[in-house]
Amino acid sequence: MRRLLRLTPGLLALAALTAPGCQQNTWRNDNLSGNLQFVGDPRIENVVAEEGARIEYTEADLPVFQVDLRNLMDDQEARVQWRAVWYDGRGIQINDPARVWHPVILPARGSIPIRSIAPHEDAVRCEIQVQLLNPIE
Amino acid sequence: MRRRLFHPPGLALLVAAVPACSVLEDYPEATAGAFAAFRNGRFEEAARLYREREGALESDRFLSLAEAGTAWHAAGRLRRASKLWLEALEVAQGFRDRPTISGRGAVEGTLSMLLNDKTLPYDGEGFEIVLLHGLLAWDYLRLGRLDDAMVEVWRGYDAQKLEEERYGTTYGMNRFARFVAAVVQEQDGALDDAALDLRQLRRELPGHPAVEASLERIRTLRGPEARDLLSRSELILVFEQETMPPKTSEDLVFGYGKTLVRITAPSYRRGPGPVRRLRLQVDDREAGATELIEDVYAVARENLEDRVAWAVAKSAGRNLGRAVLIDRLGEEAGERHGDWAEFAVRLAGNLLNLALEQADLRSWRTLPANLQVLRVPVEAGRHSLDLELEGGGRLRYESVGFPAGRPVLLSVRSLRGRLYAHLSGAEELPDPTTTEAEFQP
Amino acid sequence: MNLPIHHAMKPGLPFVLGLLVLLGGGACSSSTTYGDPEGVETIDDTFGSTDLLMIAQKMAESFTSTNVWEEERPTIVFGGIRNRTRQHIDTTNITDTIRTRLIQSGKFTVLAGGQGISEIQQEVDYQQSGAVDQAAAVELGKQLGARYVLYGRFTEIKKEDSDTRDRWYKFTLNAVDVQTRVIIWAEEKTFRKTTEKPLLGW
Repeated sequence: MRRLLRLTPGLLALAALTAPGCQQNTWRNDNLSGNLQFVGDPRIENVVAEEGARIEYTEADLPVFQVDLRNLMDDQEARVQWRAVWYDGRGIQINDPARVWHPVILPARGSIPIRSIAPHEDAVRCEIQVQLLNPIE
Repeated sequence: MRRRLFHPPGLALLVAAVPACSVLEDYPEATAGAFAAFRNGRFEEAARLYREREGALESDRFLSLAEAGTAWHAAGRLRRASKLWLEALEVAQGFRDRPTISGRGAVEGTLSMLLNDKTLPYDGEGFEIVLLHGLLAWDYLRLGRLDDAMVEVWRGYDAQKLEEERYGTTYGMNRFARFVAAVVQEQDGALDDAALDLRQLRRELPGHPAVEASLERIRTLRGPEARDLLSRSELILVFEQETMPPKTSEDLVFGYGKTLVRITAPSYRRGPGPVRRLRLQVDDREAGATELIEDVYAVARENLEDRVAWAVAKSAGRNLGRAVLIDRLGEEAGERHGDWAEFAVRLAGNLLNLALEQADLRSWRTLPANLQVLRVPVEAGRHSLDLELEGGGRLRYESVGFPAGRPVLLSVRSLRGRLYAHLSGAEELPDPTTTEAEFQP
Repeated sequence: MNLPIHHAMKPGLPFVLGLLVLLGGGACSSSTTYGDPEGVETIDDTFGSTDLLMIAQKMAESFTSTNVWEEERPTIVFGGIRNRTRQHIDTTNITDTIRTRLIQSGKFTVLAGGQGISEIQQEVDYQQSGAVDQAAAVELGKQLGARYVLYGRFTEIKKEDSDTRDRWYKFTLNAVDVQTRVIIWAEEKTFRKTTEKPLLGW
């Protein structure tokens, strides 16, 4: 069983500093890494922001990545969608037959955690993509 | 302003559009061929003919699908029937999902005020929707799809609740679905739920043999004799008697000034005839007779009686409006072209008014006039079954395999006294959905 | 260069009608495109593809990340999912996706059940029919038995008035130990879909 580790705020700050001006932040924990990426309409950056994250192993040896999303708007809810894509150590994407964009509604100034568990224990890197909700209507 | 009223091209367009919109057509007449095919047991032809007629602007699409579905249902083609019936329910749902202020609804409403109620789409009377769910539940049960049967039971309850909220009464329109629900729940092991439905039925139909038999079964299944009961089989018989009578038009024609007025309303002038029971013999021994669980005709009649006042009011309003219009057009024609022109316009106007004012006679004609049920315990093994309609046809199954612990479902329809029957759940049936017994006059 | 002077440019009735027909035809013609199969679908409040995948993902994630199994590689079989919603839903669609993900995780031995068993029986019958060389035929009595059975229930609470329809869904999946009858794992996914009737429209 691999040891469970937790990111410290210092590590978080370091990660943020190493990627100045970039649209994505990367969080690391041992051999695991996770990053959050805003995609699609660039106005998403005015709507939500990430607020801390952690990546670690579950007790069943599968990596789990969790990021808190916060609504930056004072007076209206934010409607966004997110999905997680996992990669193995060679950078090959791991297939997930149940992958889907998850719709999320954040109340004004509210935050919620979004969480993804890897579909395979070979996974080492997670990329969570977030964009403005763009449903098929 | 008066001059603009008399606009010959506009009037001509209106007159030309009227036949095209088939607003002069009576539903029972327009579907007479399909109905005759159905009554004579030519179900495939009936289904085809019903599907070919959806009315102007598809306003009769619900009926087209519901009637064609009933034809396949009577033929024992359950998958086809359920497909069409589900489509019919989608049509009805689509009507309810229209915007609060709907352009289409406004056009149809305006046309119905100008012409007649046949311009409105027929989305099924509440009791028809509820029965549709009940019949679908019965067909899904016969297909062995318990989950789907329960979906229809729940949807039937929802439709009934909607009727109750809207009109304050349901006329007992959901008794058949409740009976089917109890059978499904019993098979599913949900004995408490089944008992709840049966107790509700007992309140509405005290002493009904099939309801009492069902409650007795539930009691036994909860007790020490459950194993013994499960080693036996049973026959659940649903009998659909004949068809719904057509709606007819009640007319009142009188003079109003120089204009003829015709007020119309739909009614059931003649009923479907007496309730006839279906007698069952198992191995040539009397086993019981079906009992009424849903008097469809009585529900339809009460439903219509509650709504007829609104139809009469609309008819009177339409006539008044048209009478004023004809009066002004006649006067205007007289002023411009003399007395003969006034006479001609008034004559044409009156004739058009009389022709346009027609009662909406649409209804689901192939629905049975009533539904009857019977539950009979039968030992597992092979048995002969004889059915005899009071004053009508008979049929016999020489040998039906009854499985232990499961019921055999028998669905019978009478049409012009002939019986059309379909078995499901019996052992060694090559195709339970299409087996038809031979009619013996 | 002098061009001939055209007569009145006012469009005639046939022209206007023709234009309307063309526009009408254009508006009515349908078009088909490939879309994102992972996209959020909100066409109405009934059960849809997004709901299916969200349920499957939540169940599979929870199932694979737990560690309640007594074996290294538990042997599981899928039982039924009872549909207790107000919709005709093919629940095998949900279990198929969960099963695929569990198999691909490499952490479970997933046995065939239901439809799979009838397919197996058909093949075994054929192999025993005499047409197949018995040296190449499978040995009978070697099938595995499942230690855990997954079964569940999908329910819905629906509320409706003249303007709004609200559906609350709950999907529950349980894993029961066949030896002990103990339910050793359970997970739920709930979600809500609301449709409001527009005030204005065609």
